[in-house]
Amino acid sequence: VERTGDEVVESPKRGINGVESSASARRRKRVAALHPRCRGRTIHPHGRKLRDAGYSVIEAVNGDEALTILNSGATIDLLFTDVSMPGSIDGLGLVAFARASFPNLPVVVTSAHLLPADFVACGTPFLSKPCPIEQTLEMIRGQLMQRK
Amino acid sequence: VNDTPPQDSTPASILMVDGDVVSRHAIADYLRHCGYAVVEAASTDEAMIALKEPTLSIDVIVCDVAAIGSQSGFELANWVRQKRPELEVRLAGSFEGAAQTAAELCESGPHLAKPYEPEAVIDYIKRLRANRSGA
Repeated sequence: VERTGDEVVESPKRGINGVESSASARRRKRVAALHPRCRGRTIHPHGRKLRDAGYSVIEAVNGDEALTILNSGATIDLLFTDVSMPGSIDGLGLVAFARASFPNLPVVVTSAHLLPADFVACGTPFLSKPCPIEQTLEMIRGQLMQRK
Repeated sequence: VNDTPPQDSTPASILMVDGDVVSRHAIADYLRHCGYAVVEAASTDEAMIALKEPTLSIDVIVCDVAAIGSQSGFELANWVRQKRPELEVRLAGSFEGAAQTAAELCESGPHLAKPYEPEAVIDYIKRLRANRSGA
């Protein structure tokens, strides 16, 4: 199953209830990954890899799910999103919403169609798809460091 | 003598089917803490894609009865029982039921210990849902 869009929201990994889970004494970051639909979606290859890298990942299948998560009060450290997605809001709408509502939330955008130049202009970190996991991790790590 | 031990490094995989991102992610996270590999599906259609994906070996399906998609949760469960009888199917009628199911799976899970009580998962979901409806 393939997810097209990726919205990853990162937050310090606390177990539910804010209790640090015993398995991870070190703080993890929570990444919300949003995946638009390709052939269906479901298992975004990066979701697993981001978890393996120590992040806590909330996967949203479309912009509406991402909005639900962002508005729910769940602790999110970074939003990683595709541009074209099904639902009532696409990735660019989501970025605009996040910028307005959570100005300190780092956002990384990925797209198979748009060009990096489209995003450099507005200062949004961008990854062209397909994007190797190493590059994605580097970008996410860098964005999180900047906000510390 | 061929005494190669069986490869037992692959964690049991659970397919979590729930159209509500809040409860799906909370319960999936709990199951991951228990040591399972969890695949999330937002609809029964996505669940079918996951079930037909050869690179994924699913052992257990936890499905919301009211899961969205072209099949209901019941229909998906029936399909699995007929076509993939080797898979264990757990239907949950509510997120409380799904959390309890997850706790039961944790009892026999790879880590042999629950990371926290299922009530904590339920409280967390309720809190996020309250924020959402209050928005």
